[in-house]
Amino acid sequence: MSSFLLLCQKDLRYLIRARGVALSTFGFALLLTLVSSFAFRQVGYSQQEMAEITPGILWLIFLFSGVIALGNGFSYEVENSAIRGPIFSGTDPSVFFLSKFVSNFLFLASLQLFVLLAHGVLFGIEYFGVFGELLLLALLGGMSFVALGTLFSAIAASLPGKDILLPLMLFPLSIPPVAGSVFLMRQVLLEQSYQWTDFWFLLLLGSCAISTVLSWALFAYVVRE
Amino acid sequence: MKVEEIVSIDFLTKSRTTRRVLPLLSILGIFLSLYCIFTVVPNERVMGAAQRIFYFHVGSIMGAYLMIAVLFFSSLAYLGSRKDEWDALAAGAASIALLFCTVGLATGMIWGHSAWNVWWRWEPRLVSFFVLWLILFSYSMLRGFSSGNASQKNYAAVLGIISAVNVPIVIYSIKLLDHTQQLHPEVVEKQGLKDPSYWYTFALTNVSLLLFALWLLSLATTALLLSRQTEELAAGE
Amino acid sequence: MALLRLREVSKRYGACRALHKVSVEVTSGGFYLFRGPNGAGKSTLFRCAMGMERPDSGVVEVDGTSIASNEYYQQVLKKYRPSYLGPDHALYAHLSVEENLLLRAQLSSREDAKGVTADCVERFSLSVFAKKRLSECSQGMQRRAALAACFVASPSIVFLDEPFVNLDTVSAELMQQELLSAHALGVTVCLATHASNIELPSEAKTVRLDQGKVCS
Repeated sequence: MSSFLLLCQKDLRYLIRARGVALSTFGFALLLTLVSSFAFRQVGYSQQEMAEITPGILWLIFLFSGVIALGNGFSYEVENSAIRGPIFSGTDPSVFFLSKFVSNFLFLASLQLFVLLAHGVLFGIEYFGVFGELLLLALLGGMSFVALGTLFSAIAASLPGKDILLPLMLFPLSIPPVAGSVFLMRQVLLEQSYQWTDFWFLLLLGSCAISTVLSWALFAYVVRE
Repeated sequence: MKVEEIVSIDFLTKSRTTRRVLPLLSILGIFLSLYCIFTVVPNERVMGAAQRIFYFHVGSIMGAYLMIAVLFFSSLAYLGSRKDEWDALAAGAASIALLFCTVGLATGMIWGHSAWNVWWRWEPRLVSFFVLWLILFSYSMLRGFSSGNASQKNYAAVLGIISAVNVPIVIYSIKLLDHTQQLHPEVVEKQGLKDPSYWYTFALTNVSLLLFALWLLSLATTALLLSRQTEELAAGE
Repeated sequence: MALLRLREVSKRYGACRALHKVSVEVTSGGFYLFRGPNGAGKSTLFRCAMGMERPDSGVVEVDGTSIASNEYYQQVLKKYRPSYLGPDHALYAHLSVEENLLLRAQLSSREDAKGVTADCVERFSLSVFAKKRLSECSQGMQRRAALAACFVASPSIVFLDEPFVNLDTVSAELMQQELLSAHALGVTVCLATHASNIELPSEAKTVRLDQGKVCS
């Protein structure tokens, strides 16, 4: 088995065996959805207005639960210096990054799917026609977020105050892809079409590409002194 | 002066040109700009006297951009050479960038207040500068949490590179967010000032503030390098 | 030619000087004992030799070339598969002992990784604990598993920093035997320890460190 698959298997095993960690992250996302249903529903928005603010609410939930998932994803590597094993076995740091990125992305994707469903139920929004498109846009935004987040979680893991440092580094730099994702999701919910060549869509794709390439290239410097 | 001399750190920290000429030129330039701004340039048609803050507002933002460019190149240089001077330069550049960005935001808010009567409005350019401020703030926090060992210098360099690359993306994308929300006091390009004195005052203020930023950078970098050298000496030879 | 050479290596942590212009040569197949009081710089020396930390000045060379460059460092890791045993066990708490060893063996591209892992489990008497998750093992078992992980990838050189600390007599004896047999097979052993009753091979060399300098 290639190193990449071996490392992914190691991450998957962590998610399954340290079940509590994964479950509590989903629980936290559910809690945030519930809280936001109180925070926004009470104000008596119309269906149209809800469609306008829904993408923003969704992304707030993705960001907060996502940052916790990312932090957990690297903290067990630094515990007892476990990451030393793969690194000194001669694994390419870029391969290590890719495996971490893929594991984190798959976890965030399942989190986003879960939140979209829970949100639809709690807020009574009918997503049926557009669910696929919404999920795709959420995933595209999530890809930039996870690429940068994987790199920054590696940086923050060995520093004091890692829990606050990770969102502090990650959130400002995630604003362009998140803003793009929110804008396009709003277009979809308001049944307005958008083109592949639209600025926001290109920005979303561009952010994915730039974040992933930069994080992949710079990861080696984070792992080795 | 050779090209290598100008591009090296020594130009900023040790050269006599820097230590004498830069502060002289920049402070003289700033006083001259203030004179021009308050006495030479006529009132702008739409906004009146309040528009005069524009020169320092744009100047500070330009200074912040220059420092971010320095941050980018010195972070790259540190990762390539692992020489401490580049790390010190990056740290200095980031702190001066944060300073200039704070001034830019504050002057932006003052200007906005005179135009809109509120201290803050969700206006794309102001918001994008705020995001820029947060990016620089997070870099400072990373430095603050680090105790200065070599791997933490790597972290700062990595964050510096990613932040600097994202700055144009952040600024550009937020500006295009919603054309109908462009409430930025549209200034001189569109209406207002046609007097030629505007151009040279604008140029003078910008250049003076850029020189001022460079001078502050040289001070910050020198201070950092000296404190690290002192630590090294304290460790004993 | 020396396998590993440190030339005038200096390293400080803040105001504390850990190593001062240390030069050490390690030849292939040798057994080196590093001695010195606490804070002498033995751990820092090992970490610089392993490439875990960069010296402030001086060079760390393997086969005559500095390991400062990342590409060469990766080549060295693949060629010599160096192992390091420090205070942390460097294993994944959520994986079993066997899974940890297997992962190490597979990542080091060992042919017949499963066979090598099974053999290692035998050698280090880990059979009872092989399927247990590392987090469920006692500290002593974790140390033994860490030692096994050091040798599972057939390293050409091992660095052991205070390996006898917190070991029961059985584990300590296992460790001792493993070190001697590894050395007999040609593995270069670098051992830093305070323990006094260690059986050393006859050709073992001792390097004394004090306050970051090599004493002659």
